Amino acid sequence: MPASSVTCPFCGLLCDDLVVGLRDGRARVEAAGCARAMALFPAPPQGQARIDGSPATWPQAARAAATLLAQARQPLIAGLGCDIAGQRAAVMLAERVDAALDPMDSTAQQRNPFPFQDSGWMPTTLSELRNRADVVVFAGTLGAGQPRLVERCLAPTLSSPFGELHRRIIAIGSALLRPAAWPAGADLANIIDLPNLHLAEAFGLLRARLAGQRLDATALHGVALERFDALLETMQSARYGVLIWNAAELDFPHADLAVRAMAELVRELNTRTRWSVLPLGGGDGGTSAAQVCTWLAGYPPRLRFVNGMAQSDPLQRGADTLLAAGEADALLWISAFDPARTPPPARCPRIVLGRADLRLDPAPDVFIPVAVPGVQAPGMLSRMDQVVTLPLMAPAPADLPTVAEVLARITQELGHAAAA
Amino acid sequence: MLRLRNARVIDPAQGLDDVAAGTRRDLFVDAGRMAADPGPQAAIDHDIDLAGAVVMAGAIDIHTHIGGGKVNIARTLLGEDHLLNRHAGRLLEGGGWQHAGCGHATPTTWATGYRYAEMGYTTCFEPAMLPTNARQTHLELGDTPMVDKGAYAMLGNDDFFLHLLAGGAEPQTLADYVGWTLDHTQAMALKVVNPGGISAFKFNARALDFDDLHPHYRVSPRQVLQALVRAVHTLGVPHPLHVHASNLGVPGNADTTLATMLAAEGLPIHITHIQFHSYGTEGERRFSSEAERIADAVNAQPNVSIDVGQIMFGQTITASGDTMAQYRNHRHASPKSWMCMDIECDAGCGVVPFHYRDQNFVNALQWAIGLELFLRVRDPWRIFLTTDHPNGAPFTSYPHLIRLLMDRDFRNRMLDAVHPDVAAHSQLRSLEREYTLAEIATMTRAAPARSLGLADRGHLTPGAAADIVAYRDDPDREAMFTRPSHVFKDGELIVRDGAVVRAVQGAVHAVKPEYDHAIEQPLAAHFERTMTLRLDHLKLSADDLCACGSSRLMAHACRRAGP
Repeated sequence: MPASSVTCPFCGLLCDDLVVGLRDGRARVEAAGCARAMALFPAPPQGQARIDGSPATWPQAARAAATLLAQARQPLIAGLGCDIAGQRAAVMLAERVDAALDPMDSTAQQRNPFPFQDSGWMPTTLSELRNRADVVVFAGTLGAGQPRLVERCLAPTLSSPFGELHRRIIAIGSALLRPAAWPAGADLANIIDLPNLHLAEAFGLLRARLAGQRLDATALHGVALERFDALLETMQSARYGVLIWNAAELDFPHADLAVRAMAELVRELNTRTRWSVLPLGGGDGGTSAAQVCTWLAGYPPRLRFVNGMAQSDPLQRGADTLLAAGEADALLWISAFDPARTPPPARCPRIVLGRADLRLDPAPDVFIPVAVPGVQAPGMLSRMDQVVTLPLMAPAPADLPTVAEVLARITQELGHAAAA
Repeated sequence: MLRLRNARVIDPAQGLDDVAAGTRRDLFVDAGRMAADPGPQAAIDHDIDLAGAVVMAGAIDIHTHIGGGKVNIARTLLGEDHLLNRHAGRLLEGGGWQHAGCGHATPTTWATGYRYAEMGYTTCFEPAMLPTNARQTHLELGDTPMVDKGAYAMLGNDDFFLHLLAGGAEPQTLADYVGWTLDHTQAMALKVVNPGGISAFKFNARALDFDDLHPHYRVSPRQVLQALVRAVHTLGVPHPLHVHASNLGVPGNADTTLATMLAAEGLPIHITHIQFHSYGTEGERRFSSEAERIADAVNAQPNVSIDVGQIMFGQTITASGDTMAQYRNHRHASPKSWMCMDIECDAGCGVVPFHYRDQNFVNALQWAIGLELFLRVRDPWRIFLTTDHPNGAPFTSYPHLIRLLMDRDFRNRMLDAVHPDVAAHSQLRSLEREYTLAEIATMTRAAPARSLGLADRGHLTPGAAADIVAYRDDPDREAMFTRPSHVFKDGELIVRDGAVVRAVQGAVHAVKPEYDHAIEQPLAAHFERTMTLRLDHLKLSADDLCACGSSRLMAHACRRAGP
């Protein structure tokens, strides 16, 4: 009997309407799954813990991991691709060993907290988008990383509880990748083809025009001024507009300035009508990692514990930077969702907690296979809009420890390791 | 069995005041509960001489924003706040680990629990839990150690309720929906914030007076309020509807506040952070105190209870479900980073940093209005001590506030130091009242427990939970209430001389009203039709609370009111 209303943990949307069956001990999506869900649900039910490549029990491996961490002076706990219980345990371990904490997508996601902390913004959530938005602007993305976003929130077949809704969807940016499941009829009313690199200028221009400023230029990077004016007119005519971006797809220097320009335009539009922003992202537990770090340690990533106290250090403490500079002398990598999200190269000892099929080459010093949250073990995750925390089910329970169990064991073993 | 000798007990629920009577007594604790004197033959395992310390039940904060999305957004927005009050984790002498912590206006969850316990608070209520955010709220409360917790579910701006109300649904149907929500979000009470106004803001309304019609649903805040007051009463939820009234912060809003009280038509109603709702439009600045008129109305209407939401000077951050008000207030943001969010056809949240300044006329008058309200409302059983943490000030300013209430000379010295026009625009100086210790114990212990229906908290009668605080008597009441000598949680010593000595997890209080479960069918259909999550995924069980980190659910049955 397949399980219904299963939450999918494999992107920030956390679709919670999947039907998932079981075949040969592996979960299999039977309905409502996107290609990513279909590929990632069937996790192998068994895995072998290893120390230096040799088989071990997972508690033995946890003890070996504790020894490595206890010996390290500047350990790094990175990836954080797991459920909330695992992320809580990661913060508590970091607190004990004075570690840095860095989720796997922090380089991209860092483009959001900077402008948010500098000036703030006016966001919305998925159900508001679905029911209210009559003008939707995609900037630098079409939601390819959230395959069912358009299907679940913007499809023309969806009815609004507030009466008839004629939705206009507009895109601005370059090389925009359309998700495979783009529903029929959800046509893009307009595409402004402009390199993503120039989005900050484009939104700066829109802000200037909204403020009634005259411009001498007739075009911006080949796009005629009239097209921006027309876009602005459409935006001003919205009853409830939503501007969508994905920081991961704004992959150019100082992209935080583009985010800030977008957020500021939306705030200014609110003087007369209603507009909101909706930043996409939050895959591999990223939204939860930011939330948990913030409520437990006081800062969103990246952060580190120094002398037992949390410090915010978003610019210098990326895992890649620390490892490249030799400023981390032990790496604990957590990646329980996606077998392709492997640890970064490192010269220091590596401990890996991951899906049983995580592709590891070379083998780390310690590998502990863990249950995939939402497939093999229950748990919780925050959706990318930061409001809804959804329960994860275990449609294919497996005899593997959870990330939280392993981290708690490592923390417990620290005392023994220090004494040894 | 534990014996606490030489205690000067102040326990208003029992009418005990050893300080006034000049008496002392011994207290007995067995298995986490207060016990009667077992007689001279009984075996005493632990014996502590309190040497005449003033002893009260653990304090209860009835309104403090300590968990849920808005608080975490505030933590993110005001990162510099977490450079303050930093401490490292450490092993505790009583066993266990005290986690690291930081923060002043928005401390981390761990620090929040420690700071409350260090002041002698043992129970805290988060007053604004959106049903769609309930799981996160309980996660954050689960990571708040030392104290028991509870949360008030927010309704009255959600589309399901407004749709029902606009469609003329029977009061019974509305009560069933309220009952379902309280039950499945594990809430202790029901709150409404700017009735209908948060929803109206999504339809681009920038103001919604008490009798204005919602732009889409064509119902007024009055109708929303009355429906919810009745529903809470019908279900027999002990705490009355917890009301954040319309027009928060707007000069002249005292009229709305008075109309809101009267709209309850004699049924119980709690008006929260009433300081922010007690403003007039007199004077050349068109901003004046209406504390006297508000206090007179509270004194005259025994169905009304309030908490004050006192402001204190300094940097803080305001976090509220009232997006309409927060959007209006963003021009006062300091620093100038703020956010307002529409949430999930449910409600909203707005987070705006504020720096209250003693030389700013409006801020200084707000301060005086709050104190006037405290001093003018006569019955300490119907007024609770809050700063609407962190909106008026961080909860750690409570000891200072207690001194302002208990020490008139100190209060007048403070009044001398604020904006010079305030003394003339407020009658604060003429108010001679000084709160007694018994009145402080009432408003911070006995009264909140009674209002919330916590039968075994807020007092020290044999059989009650042994949440006990001992303070060294000190004429400087701020010093006294900052640093209790002993705090016991369920009979265990958790704080000694103002420092944590033992870590405990804390439980969750929630009401369990009776309602017709058939309401779930239309609600599930609404979710299926319009929402991006399944109704089942909103529900939290007792086991879920433990997974969120709390030790257990303390369920409180409700007695339905007659027809």
